[in-house]
Amino acid sequence: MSLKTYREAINEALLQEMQKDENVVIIGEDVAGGAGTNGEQDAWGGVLGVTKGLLKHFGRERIIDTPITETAIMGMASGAALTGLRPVAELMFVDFMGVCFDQILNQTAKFRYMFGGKAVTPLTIRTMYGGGLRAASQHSQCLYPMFTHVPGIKVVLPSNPYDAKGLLIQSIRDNDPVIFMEHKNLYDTSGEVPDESYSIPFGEANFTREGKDITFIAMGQTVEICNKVADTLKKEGNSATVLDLRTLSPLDEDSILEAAEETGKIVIVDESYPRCNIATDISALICQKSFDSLKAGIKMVSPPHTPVPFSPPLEDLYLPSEEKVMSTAKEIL
Amino acid sequence: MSSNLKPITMPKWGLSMKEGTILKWFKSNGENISKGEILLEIETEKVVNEMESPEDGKILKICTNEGDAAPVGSLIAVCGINDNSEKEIDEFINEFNLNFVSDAKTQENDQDNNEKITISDIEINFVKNVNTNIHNLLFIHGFGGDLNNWMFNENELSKNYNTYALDLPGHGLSEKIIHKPSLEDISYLINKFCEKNNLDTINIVGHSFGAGIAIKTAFLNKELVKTLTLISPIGLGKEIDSNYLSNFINSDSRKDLKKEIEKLYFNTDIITRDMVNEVLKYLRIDNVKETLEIIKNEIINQEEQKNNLIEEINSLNIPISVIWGEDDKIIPSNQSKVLVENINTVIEKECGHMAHIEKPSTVNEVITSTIIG
Repeated sequence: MSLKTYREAINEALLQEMQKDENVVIIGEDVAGGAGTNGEQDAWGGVLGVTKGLLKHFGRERIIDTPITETAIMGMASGAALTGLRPVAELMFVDFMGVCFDQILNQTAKFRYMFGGKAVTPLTIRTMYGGGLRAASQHSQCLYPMFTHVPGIKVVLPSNPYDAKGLLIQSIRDNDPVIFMEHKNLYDTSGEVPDESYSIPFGEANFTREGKDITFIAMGQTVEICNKVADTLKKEGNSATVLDLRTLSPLDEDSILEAAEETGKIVIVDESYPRCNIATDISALICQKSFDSLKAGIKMVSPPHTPVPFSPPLEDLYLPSEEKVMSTAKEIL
Repeated sequence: MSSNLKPITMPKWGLSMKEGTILKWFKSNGENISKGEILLEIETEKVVNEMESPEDGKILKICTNEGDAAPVGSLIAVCGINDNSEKEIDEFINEFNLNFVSDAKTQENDQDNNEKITISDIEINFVKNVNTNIHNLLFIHGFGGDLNNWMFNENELSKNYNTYALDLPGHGLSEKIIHKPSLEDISYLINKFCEKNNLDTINIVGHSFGAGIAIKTAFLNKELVKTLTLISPIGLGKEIDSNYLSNFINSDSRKDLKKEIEKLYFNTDIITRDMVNEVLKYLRIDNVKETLEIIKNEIINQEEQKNNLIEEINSLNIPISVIWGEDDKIIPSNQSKVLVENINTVIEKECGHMAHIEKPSTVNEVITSTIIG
């Protein structure tokens, strides 16, 4: 066991699965860098260096640099998955889904269903999401509610290095299309990650704190925000439960209801746009299945319904923060 | 400074413990305490347990209150004999805190002291705490456990013994593979382990499946093994909760696994979320389930215990103690009835399958008395 960053954990998952199974290939823009040129090879390893170092192990046959066309990347990866490979395709920023969404929504997500269960599409799509990098409104969105909305796609949001490795290995081994969403701010966070290969099953949410007074439900980056708020509250004499959803599809409804019923006071923290997001969905779930356990109205912390601002002070104001989560919690404590 | 003042410090339960949170003080300022009396309840990342008083005397000042966390080794209370003045006590606290260096603050201590050794092509992980003591002590955990199971024993007993604790193949940080899983094969591995560590004699403490390995090792290596302390051993009867083994292997969720882990204890409050998560993390590692399945088939056969070690244990001419929780739900404690008289049998009340975690002071006392006679 050793301390690894989120970026290293993802790299190690890819390395170990590619060593284990020769059908695993990586497809994307600059996933190595330098293909077809006389320039430096493996110059990039993806735009933030996550796949760097894999080229020397597996060569250009399995680390495939593509032209700048997400449509072709997703088409190629889906076809490869249908015909026996286990591709890990990189959709650099999730914001670019617009140009390849038909491949994902109407083709990949539907194959198993349309072919009567005879076709499998073991495709993993890795993508970056989220704000905080001053990258403006076309490179800072979350958009996971849009994928969660579509049956046939599994949606994974790892919140820490241990989960990132285990959930990515599970994604690659899974026989259905999976969108694996990495928050940009998490790449340099670190945690204990076993050197050995392991997988975390989908649909198993994780309690990162346990308490009696209030429940935070979080996903991806917002988990750490809630953990910090819970730790501060503890010092003030209030104990909080934090539930990390880990996967949005499948969704661990049992754990959500269990976490909600433990305290009856719920704050859901979701960085995506506030209409039809994960917070509203979970709020509806709790209201339908566990209304009697509620001791206060369900609170949600999400950004306002606007594009992500480019101005740094505005972006800071826009994103869920410890201060916002804390003040929201205090409204119902 | 008054010499009769003594510090009571946060204990270190296991290698990874950095700090503990005090859940409850059973004594308050001014109350008399005696050595071995339950003093307080502490929660670590892995376990909730009671701490016994290390001293006789009187609690003069509690320094860490209920609900507060304190690093390992830090001052949580001051104990004394007389009614020392406030000033004396404050000076004592100041001086202690001035000299106190937290483990968590020193970077090098972040590295654990796990060591690896290759035996029969399998990489075995172990920890050792070797000093100038005469006796060597080896801990062997049970099915699905690891060397951290000895968190209340290994550290404590290392004051008087050279202690070794290993992870069996397929467990803990050892390689997740097992070529030959029989008790004979694993006792061969234990023998080699001692050889490679230059141990001419060894006292073995084994739990459950690990106790079975200990009996076999003693039977096959009479020169090597000097004493045995066995906790809820296999091999003394047919009955065993065979469902526990299968369910443990096949637990995929926290909820399922918690149900299984609860069967191990009399007092299930001892189980923390992190304790369950640690086991879940272990079960998720590639090849763990396959390896455990192989070992399971060495323990049970058609829902009954496969090994019969009664003749072997009763024929041994060394000091042996057997400790069994009266409420053991995995292997019933009445199986100890087959043991011959000269084997010291301790049936512990309000205790399940994990006496070394639930009743560590009893277990540590029995280990000591078995070794020193």
